[in-house]
Amino acid sequence: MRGKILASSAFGLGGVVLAGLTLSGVVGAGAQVAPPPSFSRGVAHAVIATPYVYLTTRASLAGLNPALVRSAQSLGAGPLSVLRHVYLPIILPGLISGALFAFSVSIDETVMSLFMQSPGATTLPVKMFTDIQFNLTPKIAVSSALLVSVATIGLLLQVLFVLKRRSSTRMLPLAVSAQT
Amino acid sequence: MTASVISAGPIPGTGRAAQGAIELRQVSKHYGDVVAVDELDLTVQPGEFVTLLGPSGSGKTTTMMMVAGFEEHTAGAILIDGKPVDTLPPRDRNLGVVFQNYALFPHMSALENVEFALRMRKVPRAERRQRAEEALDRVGLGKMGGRKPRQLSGGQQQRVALARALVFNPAALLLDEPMAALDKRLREQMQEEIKTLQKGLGISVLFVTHDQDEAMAMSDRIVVMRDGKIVQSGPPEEVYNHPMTDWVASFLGDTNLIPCTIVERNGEEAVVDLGGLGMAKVRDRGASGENYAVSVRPEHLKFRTRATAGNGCAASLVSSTNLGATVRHRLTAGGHDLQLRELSSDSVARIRPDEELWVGWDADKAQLLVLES
Repeated sequence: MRGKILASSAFGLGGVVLAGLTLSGVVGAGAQVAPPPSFSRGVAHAVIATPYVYLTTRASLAGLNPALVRSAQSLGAGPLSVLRHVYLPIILPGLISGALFAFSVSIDETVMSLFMQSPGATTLPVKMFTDIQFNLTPKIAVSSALLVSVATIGLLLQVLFVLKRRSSTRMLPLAVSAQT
Repeated sequence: MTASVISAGPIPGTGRAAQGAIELRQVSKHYGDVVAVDELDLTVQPGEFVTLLGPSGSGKTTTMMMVAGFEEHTAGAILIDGKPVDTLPPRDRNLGVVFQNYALFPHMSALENVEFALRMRKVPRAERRQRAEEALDRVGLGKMGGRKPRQLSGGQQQRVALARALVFNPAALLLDEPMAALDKRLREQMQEEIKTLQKGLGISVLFVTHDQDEAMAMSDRIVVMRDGKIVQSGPPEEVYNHPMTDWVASFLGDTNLIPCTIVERNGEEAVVDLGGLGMAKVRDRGASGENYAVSVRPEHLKFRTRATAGNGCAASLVSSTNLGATVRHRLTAGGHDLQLRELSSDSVARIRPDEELWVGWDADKAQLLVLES
């Protein structure tokens, strides 16, 4: 319950922090005291993505049997070993899906990136957006096609993975399928 | 999975003497105002199999968790082989623990699970692999090392958990209801195997269960707990045959409790007045309280012919139920409901309800105890 409140407030908090960052970027640009733009942009993206990573990791931690930690301790594992051999392998799927979420949220984010862009570096969606406005070339079609095909291939790979996993579970001995 | 496959023998390459005395001195555990364990004194001798038996909430699991170091005790001292371990974290207590649902690492194979403790102790790869394989062999799973826990049956998982808890030669083994998740037949088989393994290794075991049959079958000593206190402790036969209170008598199997008043006490024997059932001679272990009763186990109550003298009375049959190996008769005698259990092969098929019968018991099979409730 507390975790849920924390997570939803993290979503809300993101907006506040972002506003501050954007403001400091806009004001600071004039005053020449702002942090380097790539740093602000990194922090801003992290703020947006953190709740997603937090939620997926928390879900996989909730599924962790506390007796696993205790049994590792009784077998001689210290805090670091427990983290490395028990927590990490078990929450790894959650971490990976959190990272994927963070990536897709971050690449999807246009408005904020637009505010925080600097002359030296820009993000793909921002570049696409400005190109459509001012510099319409076939490049835009190519990059869209690339994005769509990467997404499609990713989706297909996931379907294949799930199908394979399901069939390998079906081939388990009787004793196991009876249990599950 | 039917034959006993756990072979007993000393741990290869160690030849260690039986060690592992566990001692609890006045150990208490408080959760706020709730007293979970109350000034407990308990000693497990090296090589002894001690069972903490009690209903849920009696503090038996809390006691074990304090020994393992997962729970901190509020007061008292815990010693392993004479050394205080109160400030030691679980990993330095050198105790093998088997948890209720085994708690095998799901992402590791059976062999990797068993290897884990050796890996933590920085045992070289080749040696730890060999020792883990030997440990798996000992529990009859030599060929299953490559499987993940979810590919193993409940009984196999339990064996892996045992091998994992034993592979690093712990001072003692702590078992927390390890058979609660197994079906009856497998449970009985595992009871025998664990007992054989324990005897072969000469390792001390602290065992927690709420199952009185399991406690009877495996223990050298049973410690009956209730509300965080020890109610009675002793060898299984003694606790079963000579319960000190009615609660212990009923918790360890069925019994007939007949309220009584004491007429005469002399040492091991007492003469009591059973009200409607007349006078009787019973065993006396010096229990003292306000109200007394006599406990006679259903299997110690026998049908008698009228001629037999002492410890008997007239009764009439209410019902008979065939339980397979035994038959349970419900009787009334002198205003009391009684249970009598006999082997089906001995069962008197001719008895009918309302027929007048005589029942009786041997004086040394009736126990004088204190009525708590």
